[in-house]
This record gives sequence, structure tokens and C-alpha cells, in this order.
Amino acid sequence: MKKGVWLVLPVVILALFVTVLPLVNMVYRSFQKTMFGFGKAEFIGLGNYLSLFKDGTFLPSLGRSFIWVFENLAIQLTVPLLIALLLSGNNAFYYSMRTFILIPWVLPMVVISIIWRWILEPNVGILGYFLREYLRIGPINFFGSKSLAFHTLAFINSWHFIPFGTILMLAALSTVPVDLYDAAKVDGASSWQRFVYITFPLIGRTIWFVGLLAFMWSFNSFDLIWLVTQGGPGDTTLTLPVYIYKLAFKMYNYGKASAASLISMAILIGVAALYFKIFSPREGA
Amino acid sequence: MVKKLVLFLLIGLILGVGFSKTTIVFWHHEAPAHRVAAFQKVIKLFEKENPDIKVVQQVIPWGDAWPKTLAAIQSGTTPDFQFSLPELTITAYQAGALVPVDDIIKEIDEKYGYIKSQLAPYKFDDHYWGVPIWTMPMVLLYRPSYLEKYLGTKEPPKTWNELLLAAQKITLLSSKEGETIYGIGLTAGNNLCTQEQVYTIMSNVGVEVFDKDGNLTFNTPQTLRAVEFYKDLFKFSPPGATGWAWGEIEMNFTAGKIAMMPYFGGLQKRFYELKNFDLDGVLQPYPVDGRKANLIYPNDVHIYKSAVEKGHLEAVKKFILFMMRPDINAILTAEMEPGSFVPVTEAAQKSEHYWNNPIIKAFKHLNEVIIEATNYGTLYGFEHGYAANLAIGSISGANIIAEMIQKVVTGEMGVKEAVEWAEGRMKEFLK
Repeated sequence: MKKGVWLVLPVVILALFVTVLPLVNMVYRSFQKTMFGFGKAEFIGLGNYLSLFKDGTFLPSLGRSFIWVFENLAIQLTVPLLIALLLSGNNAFYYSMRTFILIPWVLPMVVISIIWRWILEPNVGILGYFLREYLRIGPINFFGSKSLAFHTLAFINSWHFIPFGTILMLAALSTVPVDLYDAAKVDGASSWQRFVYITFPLIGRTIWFVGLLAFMWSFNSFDLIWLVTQGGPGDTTLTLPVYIYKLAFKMYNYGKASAASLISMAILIGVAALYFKIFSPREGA
Repeated sequence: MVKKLVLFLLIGLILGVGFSKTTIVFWHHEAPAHRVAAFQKVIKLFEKENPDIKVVQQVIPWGDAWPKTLAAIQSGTTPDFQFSLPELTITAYQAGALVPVDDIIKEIDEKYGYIKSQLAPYKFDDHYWGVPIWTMPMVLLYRPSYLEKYLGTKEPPKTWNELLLAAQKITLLSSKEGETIYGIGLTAGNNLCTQEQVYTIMSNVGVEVFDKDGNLTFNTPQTLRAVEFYKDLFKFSPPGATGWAWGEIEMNFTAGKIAMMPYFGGLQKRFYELKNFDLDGVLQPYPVDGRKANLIYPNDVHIYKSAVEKGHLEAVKKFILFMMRPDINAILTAEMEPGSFVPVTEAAQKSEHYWNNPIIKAFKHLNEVIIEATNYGTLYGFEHGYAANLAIGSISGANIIAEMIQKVVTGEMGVKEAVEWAEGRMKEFLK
């Protein structure tokens, strides 16, 4: 066996241990009725899977997860590109702004959750104060309103992601040859035409990649929702990851939570495969 | 040569003494720095009296308590003992990880006199599985100045009707004056805070989650009545309360936006720091055909089987008994969270170490009410003096009662429908 294989073998074994072994355990538990995932357990076949489709919460939470993803994608694919285009200049001001915009990205989600809970608190929050005092609006119940909570969380989640997307877009923009723009200007192309025919195609691969990351991370988003609304009010922000957490650690139904996790994993793999097939940038793009 | 031998023996002796120390480890979930400091103070005092025992505290935030506890039980890495709540102790018990503590309870009761109701949440299957260390009674906190200004009296409401009228009057009159003061602070977020506030109201009409034999008895006229009253009272709670948890309600009350609220007395610490003494309390108002009652949440310590396996049980018992000494218990109660963490024994409740704390002294009447409330306290699922059905751990952890209230106050469901829904969800845990 080649020396290289022996060298990577320990890491491969470790990686298998921390990924494959929990996965195998999860598959095993998904066919059992078990509270904690250890101790007493009873084999029930597909009972957990059938229960999920009948319980009236799993399918709506799955639907909600997709709506969550699409709402986040709409912001996370467009705003970073816009900001990157605005910050693509080359002087000290642009360089310093590129540093400041990273702040939302580097903050831990716990801090972000607390900050936004205080800002948006209707009675003592700073946004509520400005809305009441200067615009005579409110109080607005951002997190307690069934019509607003979901969109408010999507905004905050996107606010957190935007700096990361922007940095990737900026990097992609820096690879576009400047002389292409010069030639296009000489030919009379407008800003919009230069964007559509030069910029967009040449950074297409990066947009595709940002979209893939935004999709995966948004779908698996748990911490922000749990820290702010715990899936409420009612079930309006109960996405699939939040529901899985509730099943496992609040309702002590580890078997059902395992089944839900596997279904979620299968969906993500399927969607990712489709995404690669349909949206992969063509060679030469 | 002799000198070398003496030095060698001396080093050996020191190392020997060091190695002969028993080290016991406990988990707690009180992450704020001042609480960690209070625990460390108790540890230092204990180690001074017991130089052969070393005590190590490890802090796990409440949000991680359940997953980390279950992971530790599964992997065999539990601490010797853990500070806990009824639901967590039940979970650890159901995972087969605990040892009974009947002997410790007996000894503390003989020495210091337990408030008997505080033992109820930890008695199941004819044994005690948790040692109550302090408790958390809920009372009706209020701002006397607001009552005087808008109601013409400093006397707080004593019945449900008086409470509802007072909340309404304060909200409407303050609004007429251009102020935004709400008569009552109630939450409807999907969390434990809501669950506790709802239950304190439920306790006044004798709601029982289970009967004596552990049968579910949640959907009753008493429950419907309590939920209906909560819904009516909630109208005079600030906007945004449907999404509130602990932080928001405390901030709003301290900021003067709320006149009254069923809550724990720990807010007195913040008022003391702000030198604002406009705070008092009264036992939870109840309907004329109801009863004096309130939510109470005894916190306990449970001991893991691993402590026995490691031979640490005696050291752990010593530490627990030490914590229940009135002078030491005052550090964990009056010093750590005055008004929120309250002694569970008669001796500690009467101790001068408790009452001489400056914050307790500054809000003497409020704290007298809080101590009195321990006599009327009850907790969902333990209304009969023991855990009638262990499913209460999961039911409480899933915040079903809070979710039910949220459905009612957001208009998603009517009262009857929501209570039926809640009972249906509870039944799932019984399967």
C-alpha cells in the first residue's frame, strides 16, 4: 500500500468515527421507540416514519423550512452582490468599509439573538422608540406577531450571512479583467449591459457557490430561531431543525427525532444533487 | 544523606496528603458571574472545614443542561452530583442514573425542618431522588406608587376581580395621561416563564395535571376558568408579550412599563442597585371561591450512581449537609439571588444570616410575603405531594402549557379548543 494511504488513514478513521458512526446509530434508532437514544428501546419498524407523516407538525415544518430557505436566498443572493458592487472601489474608504461590514458575520449567534431581541422589543427597544417618537408608528410586535416573526428572523439571519457572501463576491469581482470593461465602454455599453454581459457571467460560479452555502446553512438554521422564538408564536417559526430538536430534547422522542433527521438529510442530499445538475455553471462560464 | 532522606520523606508526605484528598465534582446551571462566585464562596468555606475534600464546580448553561446531562449519562461521564429542577431530576432518574437520597432528606429534616411541600417534586416510586436546596415561590410584585397614583390606594388587589379591574384601570388611566404603563405583566412566549405564570393562576382554582393515581386530568372546568382569566388579564399586558421570555418582562417592569406581575422576587436586587425602593409584593390574588396558592419551584441536588462507584458518596453528603446549614444556605439564597432563591427549611427561613442581608432588609415586607408564599406553593404535576406521573418531566420540558396560552392569546384557538389541544399533546407523552 502506498505510504500516503497510511498517512491519511488515521484521519479517515477519525472522520468515519465522527460522521458515519453517529449516522449508523441514527438509522438504527429511527426504527425504535426510545426516549433518550439509550437504555430502554423497542423495535417498531417504520412506526416513527409513519408517525411523522401523521402528526400534523412534521410536514408543515418541512414546508416552512423551504419557505425559510427561499426567503433567505432571495436576500442572501442579491444583497451581497449589490454591496460588493458598491464596495468594489480601490481606495482607503472602500478598504475600511470592507472591514466594518464583517461585524455581523463575526458575532456569535447568541449575541446576535440578544442584540436583536433588545433592539426590536416594542416598549423599551431602540427601534420601537424611533418608530414611536419620529414616525408615530407602533408599538410593533416583531417577535410576538404571527405575521411578522418569521420575516423578522429571516431578515436577521440574512443580516448575519450578508458579510460572508459579500466577501466572496468581492473576491470574484476582483478576478474580472478590467480591460473587458474598458472595451465594453468603448463599444458604448451601459453600466447595466456591462453587468449583464460581463460581470454576471464571469462571477456566475461564485454566485452559484454562495447560493449553495446559503441554501444549506439556511435550511439547517436552528440557533437563531430557538434563541428568539423557540418556534413560536404558535408554530409560525417552527422549521424542521427546530422541530427535530424539540422531538429529541423536549419531548424525549429520540426515535422519532432520528427518523425526522434522516428524512431531512435525504431531502438535503436530493435538493443539492438537483442544484448541482440544474444550476452548475457551464464549462467556460 | 539524612537531610536528603528527611526531604524525601517530607515531599512524600505532602504528595501523599495531596493524593489522599477526595475530589468531588458538581454541575450547576447558574451561569451569571455573581452566582458562580457565590458557589465558590461556599466551596472555599467547606474546604476550610474539610481539608481532605476538594470540591470543583462546573457550569453548564440551562440551555445545554438536558442534552449535556443525557450525553454524560450515556457516556458514563456524569459528575458526582448536579444542581437541578424537578423535570431534570425526573429525566436523570428515568435514564437510570441516580441514587435515592432518603437518608440525607431525613437528616436535614431532623436538623433544620423542611417545608414539607418542597419535598413533593422529588418523591417518586416511594423514595426521594433529589435534595431540595432552595426554592422559588411566585408572588404578585407591584409598584406601590402606580397603585397609589391610578387606583388611589397602595393596597394591592387580593382577588381575581380586583386584579383584573386594577390592571384595566391602570392601563386606561395611564394611557389617558399620555403614559404607557400597563396594569399587568404577563408573558405568552413559548417558554418556561409563561408556563410558570399561567400555572400560578391555575393553582388558585385547584388545577391538577394528574389525579392521585397519575391519570391525566388537565381538561377540566378549573383549567378552562384559569385560561379564560389569563386571556382576559393578558389584554392589559404590554404589546410584544406574546414573544417575551424572562429578560423582556424584567426589563419592562424595571423600566416602569408594568404596574404588577406574578413573578419571583429576585427583581429586588436590580431595584436595590438602582436605589429604587418602589417595589412590594402580595400573595397571588385568588377568586373568592378559589384558594390561596402560587407556583413554587424547589431546586434540588441529585446524586449520580457514579459518585457511589468512585467512593465519593460520603464526601458528597457532607457537602450537601454543609449547604443546608442556615449560615451557608444564606449565601446560596440571600446572597446569590435575594428574593428569588428562598430557603426550604424553617431554620434557614428564620436565620438572621438570611434576614441581615442588606437587600433582604431593604425589601423586608416583600421578603416576608415571599417566605409566607412557600407555605402555599404547588407545582404542576405534583399537586398531591408526590410525582403522580413521571411524564410531567417531558410535558413540562415541551412547554405545552405555554404553547397552549400562546394559541389562545394570539387568537389561533379558543380557550376550550386550546385546552383540548394541550391535553391531546400531553396524552402523547403518556404513551
